[in-house]
Amino acid sequence: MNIIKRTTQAALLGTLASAMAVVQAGNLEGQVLDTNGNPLGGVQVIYTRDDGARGASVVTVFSDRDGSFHFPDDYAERLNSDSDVVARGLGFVQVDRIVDADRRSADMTFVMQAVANQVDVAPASAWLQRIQDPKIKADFIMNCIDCHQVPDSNVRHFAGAIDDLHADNPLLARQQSWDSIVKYMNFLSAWEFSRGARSDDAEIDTDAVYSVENGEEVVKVLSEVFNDRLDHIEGYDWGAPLITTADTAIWEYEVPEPNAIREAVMLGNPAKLLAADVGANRIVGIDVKTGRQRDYEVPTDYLIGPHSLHRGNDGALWVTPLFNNTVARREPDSGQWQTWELLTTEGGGVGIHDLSFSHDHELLTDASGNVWFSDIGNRAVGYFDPESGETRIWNTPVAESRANDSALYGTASVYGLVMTSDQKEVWYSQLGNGVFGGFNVETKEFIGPFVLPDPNTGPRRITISNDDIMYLALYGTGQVAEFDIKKREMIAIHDLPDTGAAPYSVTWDPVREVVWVVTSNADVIYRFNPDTREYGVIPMPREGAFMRMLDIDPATGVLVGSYANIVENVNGPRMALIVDPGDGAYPARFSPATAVAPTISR
Amino acid sequence: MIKVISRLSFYISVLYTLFPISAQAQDQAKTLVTEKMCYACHQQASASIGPPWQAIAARHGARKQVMTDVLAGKIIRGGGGSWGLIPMVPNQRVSEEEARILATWILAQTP
Repeated sequence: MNIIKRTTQAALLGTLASAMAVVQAGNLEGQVLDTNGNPLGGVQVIYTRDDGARGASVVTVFSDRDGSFHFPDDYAERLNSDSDVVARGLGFVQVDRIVDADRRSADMTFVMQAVANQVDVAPASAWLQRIQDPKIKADFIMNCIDCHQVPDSNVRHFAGAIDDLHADNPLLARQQSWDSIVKYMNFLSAWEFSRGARSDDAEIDTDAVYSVENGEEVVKVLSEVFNDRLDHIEGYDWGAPLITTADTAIWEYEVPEPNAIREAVMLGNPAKLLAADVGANRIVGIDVKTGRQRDYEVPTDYLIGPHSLHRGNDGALWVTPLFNNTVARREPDSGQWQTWELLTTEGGGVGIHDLSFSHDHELLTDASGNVWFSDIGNRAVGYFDPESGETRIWNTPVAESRANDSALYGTASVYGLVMTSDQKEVWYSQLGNGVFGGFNVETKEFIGPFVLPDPNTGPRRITISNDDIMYLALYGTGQVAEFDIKKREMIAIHDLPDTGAAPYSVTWDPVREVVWVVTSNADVIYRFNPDTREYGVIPMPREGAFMRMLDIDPATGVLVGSYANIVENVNGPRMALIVDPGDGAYPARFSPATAVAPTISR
Repeated sequence: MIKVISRLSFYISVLYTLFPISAQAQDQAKTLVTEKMCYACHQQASASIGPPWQAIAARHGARKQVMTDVLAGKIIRGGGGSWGLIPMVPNQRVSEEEARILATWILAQTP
């Protein structure tokens, strides 16, 4: 078919379609074309469903190389408006949508036009390419992107508002305005983190947790580097090939506000997404088939602030707190909770961050059944005995080269934690000073510490392979470190395709034998293949896709995560999500309609 | 019908202008001030990031009829230029009704 005939037909169909106000969604499929009528692969087709629709709030698929796409499952509802299903691609805008529908199915053709200005789709990280000095960039990321993306559309809008002032001294206007924003954000974060435990007339402590420490440096970068309206960006690419196929699908489940969704795992039969709300004392349970939500309250009479989630190999859910001393566990069948308020044998408090993950990304205890944790409050690692509650901690050794800087030592928070397959060592990362190390749980001796090149490297969540290779998500510098635990040596530090991506976590995939790298600032999930040292990319279908921990469903290999923008006024998405990479790597195929997350016995 | 409604709303706004806001509206506003985190940038009598409410009332309190809507719009959409070099951030989580309650309350805060 020649192009002119095709587009004329398309235009005619478009006229017919626009007269058809409401069509049945049913079985949704179609194709994506460019304005010359050529098929366009790798374009997202995003179906935003009505409030209360059964199942996910938003379902996204990708066009294949021949431009075709199809949605998994059928949909009972009707499509009400043109914005229900849209196509989205970096460097393109949708210029037409043609719908050919009958009672059971809808066939859609999207026409995409290439555009120079990528402002609608380019992630926040794309703008950070303006910061030339990697050290300044890492410092900036460590200060701001703890909680939300920068510069997201709110930040860019504010840049426009500053420009609208037409001030006599534009630099001064920018400095004063960005300075006010840093103070404003400190207030908001203090507010958010005390939600659920604050009386109505309580004073807000703006210097509380998560306050920006290097305010002046942040203001300097914002004033000098982001010195325009931030409304035009060109030439960004994902930096690695898209690994999406016609079978790739993303299911996003929105959690009604107010909430401070942190991370999510999938458990149970029928499968439920369980999302931690760090601002309240609850886990939000979302039935993946129906989309129905209910809260599971952590039964403590004080706010623990559910933070990190871990799957037990018995299907239990383990919950760690926002840096206080309470661990909670929810039984898989009865839903009964057990909580432990940990005090060391000397009577000291602890500040728990993570429990120790295995290479299956499940909680792994030592041979005696003790649960190991990272202690962010005491810069320590420790364990508790779930039977007796006995708790002990060991303070991590100070890394000599980072010892003289008290500010660095003060932020040397012990963050991620993994356990080796032989259950004899735990390894930890220290977020604030770029250090990591190990601890022998039998001899009670530390291994290391090992110092990463930049104090703002920001190692966050870590993961461990079947062969005890440890991977560290280097948040500040946008890299992944690959460390051989058995040999005690660094294999390599790999730059991500976009070093402004702010990788929050890495998760070893024991079946695919790859590392999934989850980003907070780049709206993508990267897949890193350690054999070929190559990356692949799955773009998320929205801006503000601030992701945290990623879990892998052991039965189907779907990726389970969340968008966890902190601070309500950031207006970012707060969702739990499931990503099927569509690579057929696991024998069982995921479907929300039939999903169970069975316990895998080993 | 439209005429009746517009006349009615005119009388209501005149009433708002003539009489101080009710105790109930006052309570609603105070709750909103806290819930919507206005304190991040504003105080009653002292300058912080943004102007104190008393200063806004002193400048615009005499024109409540017009300024209620202007202020309400500014609360939601943000703005800049009126009080120095710092633009106000938009507050997408404040509804129009809530913004009007807040604006009415702010304009009544004359020192």
